[in-house]
Amino acid sequence: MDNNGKKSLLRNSNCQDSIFVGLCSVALLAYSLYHHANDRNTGEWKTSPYLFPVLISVFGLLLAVSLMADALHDLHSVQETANAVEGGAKHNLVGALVFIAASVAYYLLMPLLHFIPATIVFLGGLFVYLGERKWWKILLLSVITTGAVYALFGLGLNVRLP
Amino acid sequence: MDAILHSLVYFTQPKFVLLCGLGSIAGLFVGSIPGLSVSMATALLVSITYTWSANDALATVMGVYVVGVFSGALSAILLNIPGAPASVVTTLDGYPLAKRGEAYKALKYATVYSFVGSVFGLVALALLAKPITSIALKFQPMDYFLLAMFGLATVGGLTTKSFSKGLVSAVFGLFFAMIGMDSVLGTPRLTFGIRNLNAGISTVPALVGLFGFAEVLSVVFEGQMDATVNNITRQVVKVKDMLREFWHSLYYSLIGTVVGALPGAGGPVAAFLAYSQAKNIVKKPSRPFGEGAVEGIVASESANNACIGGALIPMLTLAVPGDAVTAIILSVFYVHGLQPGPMFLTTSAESFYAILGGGFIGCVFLLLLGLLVAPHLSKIINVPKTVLMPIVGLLCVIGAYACNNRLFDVGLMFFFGVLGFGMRARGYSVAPMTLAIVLGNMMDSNFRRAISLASSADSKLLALFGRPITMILLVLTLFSIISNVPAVRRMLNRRKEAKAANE
Repeated sequence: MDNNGKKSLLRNSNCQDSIFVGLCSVALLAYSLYHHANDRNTGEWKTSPYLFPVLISVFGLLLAVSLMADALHDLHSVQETANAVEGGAKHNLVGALVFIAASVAYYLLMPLLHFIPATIVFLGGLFVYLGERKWWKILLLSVITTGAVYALFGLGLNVRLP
Repeated sequence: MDAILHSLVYFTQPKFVLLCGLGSIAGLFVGSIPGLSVSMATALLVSITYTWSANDALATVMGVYVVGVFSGALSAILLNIPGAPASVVTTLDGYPLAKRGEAYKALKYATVYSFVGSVFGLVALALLAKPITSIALKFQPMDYFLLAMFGLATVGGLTTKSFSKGLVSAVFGLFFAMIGMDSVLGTPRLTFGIRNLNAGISTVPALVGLFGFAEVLSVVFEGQMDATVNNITRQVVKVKDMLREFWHSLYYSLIGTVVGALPGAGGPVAAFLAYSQAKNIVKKPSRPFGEGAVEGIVASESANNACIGGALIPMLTLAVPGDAVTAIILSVFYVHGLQPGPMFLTTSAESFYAILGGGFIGCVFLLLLGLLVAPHLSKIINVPKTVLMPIVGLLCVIGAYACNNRLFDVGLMFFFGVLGFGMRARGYSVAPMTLAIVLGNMMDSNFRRAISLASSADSKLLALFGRPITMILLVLTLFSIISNVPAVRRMLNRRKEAKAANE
């Protein structure tokens, strides 16, 4: 395979996934073998807690090979080009990342600010980010939703909210 | 028949009916609003019903399940966006009919035949659960292991375009299921020194993450925040005309029940199969198929709703769920200390009747809500996602936190949410992972038990695979794996093409 061929193989999503799955499987296999050999409580293989993880890692290795075969097949077929064209649709990755970041910030802020203020800030911020512009609607929705969730979980179901 | 009579007793219990009704209303909204799904709602319900009695939880879950599967048809008809994957086929004729100004007629057909399909599936569950249980009682540890393997292999093969990707999802699910205290020796495994992982990965945060948070991220990622709804004008639909498809609908329901009982196939496959059958058996449709034929709506809706009863059969009798929703319902059972499997009908007959009762009551609510409320839902279906998504995100956080009152579970939910989102973006289905997380520990303990039992036998291979049930399951599992291997598939396709060319 020439350099261009190698590059396009590495750019193929099946090939990337194959490498990832292969590495994870090898790591799981090594971990299981090491712990079976070194943990005092594992006993024989037939009762070892690491027997099934070994089986999983073997399945994983076989699947890594299968994904690589898919990648090689993609390289020789027109399908890959079609997929590449299809994959060109516009997506809002930044939006999804902002949503994750806001949720993580909420997770971290909740113990500091307590549930009600943290939730109002979280909801209000996301409403604004996702395109809601009427301030009264943002305020009303944030407060009512927070109140309803607090009533349902905190008061109704006795969940100890932070 | 006994089971059906026992289940009807629940119609006289006001609290049970009320909870089932509340679940049905929730199912109507969740199923009809694109971006929300029955699996997401059921996963969130696990955390809400955590402290309730098992029967109360089952009543609510069954309401959500039965009406949620039906209500996917509402947005399919009104928006051309299926509210649930099972309603994809309904869009083919439902939306063209709605565009002609006959949305009301389409909704009425969808409601009535969803009801027929749901009742058919539940009756099949009531009649078949006992015979299947008597077979399941003969199962040995290796049989359970192989049955779960067969389930994972078929789910892996049917839920994504690539079989390898389906199985990768399942293998990672098995890995997550292995984390925590080993059930046989009681030693921590794969916890990497994190104390919170000693009890294992809680299924609730994992499911809420994979289905709830991942779905929210996917909706934001796809950026489709608005859609246009068709208007509904009331029109007269004659009962005589509507019942003309009744006998056909029983056939589609049978297809739905059988497909639902097969692990992994589920509503979308059943609806497609029934639709293709409808094209063959209905000689003179009201309009050509694909242009607003009510016969198409009948086929799709009867089949996908009949899957409910079908999917519950293996879940209750063998503890092997047929699809993602039943996998989540299985976790509801575990949370409430119930143990589905061959002994379930003997040890927890009341819960079995509660499921049937909840299902039948859900069917009545389906009919009522579908005929009376659904025609007025067009405004609510169009709730802007800008408002809906943050609220669902909040419910995911609280739902994950509520099950153990610890923030660690919220972190787990984020992890699974981002994982599920990444998997979807790369063409992986989360359904095999869900099934594997739920089944992993059962597979592990049965596999080790089978190996231990066989190790003392003279012929180990015969001890492992020598019984007729085991052989059948082994052949089925191997067949489902080998026939789905891409190279084998390509070879079979080439042979078919060559044969067709020769003819």
